[in-house]
Amino acid sequence: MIDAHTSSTQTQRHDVHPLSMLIITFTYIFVVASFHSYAFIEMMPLSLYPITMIVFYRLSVRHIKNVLLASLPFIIVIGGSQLFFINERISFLHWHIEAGWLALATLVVKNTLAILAATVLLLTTPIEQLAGALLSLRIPRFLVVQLLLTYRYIFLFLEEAKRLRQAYMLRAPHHRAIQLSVWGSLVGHLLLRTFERAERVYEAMTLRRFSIQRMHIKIKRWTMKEMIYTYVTVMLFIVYRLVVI
Amino acid sequence: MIHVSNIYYSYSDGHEAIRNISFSVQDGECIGIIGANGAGKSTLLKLLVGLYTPQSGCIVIDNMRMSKQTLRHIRRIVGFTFQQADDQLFMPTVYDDVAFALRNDDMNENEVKQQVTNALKTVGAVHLADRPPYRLSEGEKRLVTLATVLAMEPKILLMDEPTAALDPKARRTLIHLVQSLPHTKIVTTHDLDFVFECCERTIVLANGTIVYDGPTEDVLTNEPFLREHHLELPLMLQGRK
Repeated sequence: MIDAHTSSTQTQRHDVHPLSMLIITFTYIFVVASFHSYAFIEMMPLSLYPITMIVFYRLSVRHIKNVLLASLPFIIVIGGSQLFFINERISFLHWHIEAGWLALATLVVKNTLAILAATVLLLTTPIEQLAGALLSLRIPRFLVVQLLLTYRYIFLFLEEAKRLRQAYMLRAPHHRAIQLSVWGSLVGHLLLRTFERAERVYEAMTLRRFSIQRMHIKIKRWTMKEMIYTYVTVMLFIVYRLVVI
Repeated sequence: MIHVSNIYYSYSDGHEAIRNISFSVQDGECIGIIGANGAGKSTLLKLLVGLYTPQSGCIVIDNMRMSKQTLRHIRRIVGFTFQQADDQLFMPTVYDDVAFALRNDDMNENEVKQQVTNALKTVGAVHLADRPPYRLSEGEKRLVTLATVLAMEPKILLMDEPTAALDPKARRTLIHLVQSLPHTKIVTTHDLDFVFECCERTIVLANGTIVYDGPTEDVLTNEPFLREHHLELPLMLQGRK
């Protein structure tokens, strides 16, 4: 799980402008997604960006591994369909292989790179600063506030889910996982409990004069140095994409 | 300061939580509201701060009758701390949490800093300013929730079970703090010793109605009455057996 505290302390160590991080990450994901279905080898150099960031920011590999593992089943299910729809064979390096398998592997790499970039963004930039960056990009305020509240709701949801799971496991020590028959009841309870908790948090916010229009979101100044850094990085990605077709 | 007249409140499932309650609170009073679980204590506090709207009756605070139009003004002078501190703390750092209401008022950052520091100083939590709220101990969270409210400079403080889940030292710190605050205070609690030490007047609720409203000492020494309403003598008044 991405920890907001981890995120804020890491940012205190290396202060990168949130707008730079946002633009670079979105360009990176766009470039990764734009490669064709068999660009397995061509995309490999792009892994340098997230790896460099992880090393530079000394991010927790365990956190990132968990996020990647959570996304893997979805992408394998989606990518697995390629095996049924693509029936041709293509040459890859010195071998002739099923194109479906190469498409699946490429999709997994695309997913991995995109998730890595997004995770790096969230781990290095606090959500409040990202909200400020979105506002400076003229994203409507109500959407940005929605994003902030949704982000907080995710943590409430995970916290309640953890408590429910612990309560279940303590009363069913011989079960390795939650049994299918109680999932309906557990999920129902989870939703009702998180709704109630979210409502109480919202009440606390309204008592302290919260409103979408007045919510304080700090927008940091974008310096020339940061602009140049962003421009150079974005251009590197775009040039690489245009050169490697 | 506060006048409550004949209010009724039922939840959507039909449960009548508050039935025909009336009382007044004078400026500077500290009132303890006690009663069994489900007596309507928390509901009454939420009615006083406009989180719930009574089905009938009226609430007047600082000469303003509570309505949609006056709610914003009323919430400026009434500070409310929740039963669960975690519900009230939602920003990344303690500083941001205490500053939340002030920034919503478009106050400039220098003034925000001044008021946040004052509020944290009052509760003795300046050293927690940069900590994330969810990493604090329960006692520290209580102090910070009080600071979030004090930063708004309210005239009235409503506290819902402020000593719940506190260790003896944190509880004692909170008692000293509550005693030192000059505000008009209404506190709901099961901690009868807290009421005995901090509140000169006590209201006892049972099944949504007031069954006692008067001096704290008179009610908290009346053992048969307390037992009848699922309460007991404060620990400090119980003789060793």
